[in-house]
Amino acid sequence: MKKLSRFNDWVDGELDFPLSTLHDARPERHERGRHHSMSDSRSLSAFSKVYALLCLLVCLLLVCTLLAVAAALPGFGSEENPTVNEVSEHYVGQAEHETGAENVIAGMILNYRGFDTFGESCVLFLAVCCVMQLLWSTGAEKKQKTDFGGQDVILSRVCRVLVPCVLCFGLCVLFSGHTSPGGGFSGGSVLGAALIIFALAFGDGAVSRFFSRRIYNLVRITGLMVYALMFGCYIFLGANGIESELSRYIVLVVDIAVGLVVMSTMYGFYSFYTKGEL
Amino acid sequence: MTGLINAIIDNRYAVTAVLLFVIGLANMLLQPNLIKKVVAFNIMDSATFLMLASRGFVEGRVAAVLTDGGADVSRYVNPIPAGLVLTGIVVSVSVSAFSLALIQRIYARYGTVELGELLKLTKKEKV
Amino acid sequence: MIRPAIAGLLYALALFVFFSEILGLYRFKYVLNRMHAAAMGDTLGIMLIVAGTIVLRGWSMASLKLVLILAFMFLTGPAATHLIAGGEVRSNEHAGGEYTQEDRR
Repeated sequence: MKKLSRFNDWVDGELDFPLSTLHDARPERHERGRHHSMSDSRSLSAFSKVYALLCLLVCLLLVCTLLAVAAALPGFGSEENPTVNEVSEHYVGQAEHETGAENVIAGMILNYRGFDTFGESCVLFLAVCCVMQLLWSTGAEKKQKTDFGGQDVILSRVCRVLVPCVLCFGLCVLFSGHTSPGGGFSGGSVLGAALIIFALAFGDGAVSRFFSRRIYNLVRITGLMVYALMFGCYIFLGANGIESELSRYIVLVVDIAVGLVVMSTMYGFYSFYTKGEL
Repeated sequence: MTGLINAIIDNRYAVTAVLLFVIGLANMLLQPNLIKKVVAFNIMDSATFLMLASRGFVEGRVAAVLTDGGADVSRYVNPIPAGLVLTGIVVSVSVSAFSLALIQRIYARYGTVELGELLKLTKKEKV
Repeated sequence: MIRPAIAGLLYALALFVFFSEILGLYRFKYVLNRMHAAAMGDTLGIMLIVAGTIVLRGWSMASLKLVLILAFMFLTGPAATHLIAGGEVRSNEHAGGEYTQEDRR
């Protein structure tokens, strides 16, 4: 906790980075006096003019080049497209047999390219960690932020109808990701949206009653751990050798794990942006 | 002339994606407001996703969710770009969230998100 | 024959509503007036479009989903507008009383 506040101080510029050699340069700059600032601002405005011209030039060059490339591409929707090759044919043809998922895209991202999706989940996890470190409010700031939730009658009445429907829809999308359109990412974001609406309508206290910081961290980490363990075991057991039923089960579990990570990410972003804590 | 128009109509999504991308890039380079820079970054992302998704489509085929027809390869569109777009969306959300958090910190410290004023303030601070 | 005619009528009405919405959004000066125009178009225009589509395609599973979308839009659109208007009232110190010329800009 103390380290975190030191980090915050460093981000705010109140604390210098330990191996700073900038300290020695500072008094020298002070002596140079203020008459430099006028010429500085003049050179700055001249620089901004040149900069705008250069930017326009670069953009024009880029648009010409890219349009020339786009005109040379095979037409939209044609079968000669180089992306429609034997790889995609293998995915479509073998996905149901090898992964047990009727949704080829879910089978592809959670089975053939499972480690890639694991990396994506880690990116989300790290994004929440970065936002947490940047926006975790210290004691002084915390008092200024007031909780507007739970005051609005119309919103809370609407949400009493809306939140169960959105939750059901999110769960439906999450659990049927391997057989129909949907999956962990979309289902997880719908669930996160339901949590955010709930927090807006009934106040943050209502959410933290069942989704406290402990549980939040637990859900977040459990999602990633379940993904890593299940997929690691699956690869270790020989991937394609497993019969179809078991691998469908693995796709479903991994999908739910991704959904948990995405849900907690969405709610975490909301929570840290509005009140700076969980 | 007709050849050019035909090429544009043939690749209408690619042309739209290129225009969107350059609009986003120009805004990202020239906007003085940091929030608008983030918006421009998201426009560029959307252009990339449009390009990828349009590359995977094949005329007359349906989305790659197997139905009663079974695994007939010539019935479904290419699933790979959809997966790539999914990856891209995740990365774009994370980068946007991170940059918005940084901007919030900058605003809390300097009270502005305009780049010119920020440059002046930081210069004053150094002197 | 009668079905496409009714659907076309509904679509034309919806287009009119959307046109007046955008006109109001750009021509009105004060934020609450503009919000009123936008919310009108959002609820009424989308209702007309969805109703036209239901008439055109007849009763099926898809039109049931459209009815669900309609219900969702009817719940959420006015509530969202109400919240934004509440934000304006809360942040504008002249709200509820007389508006100065500066507020209207």
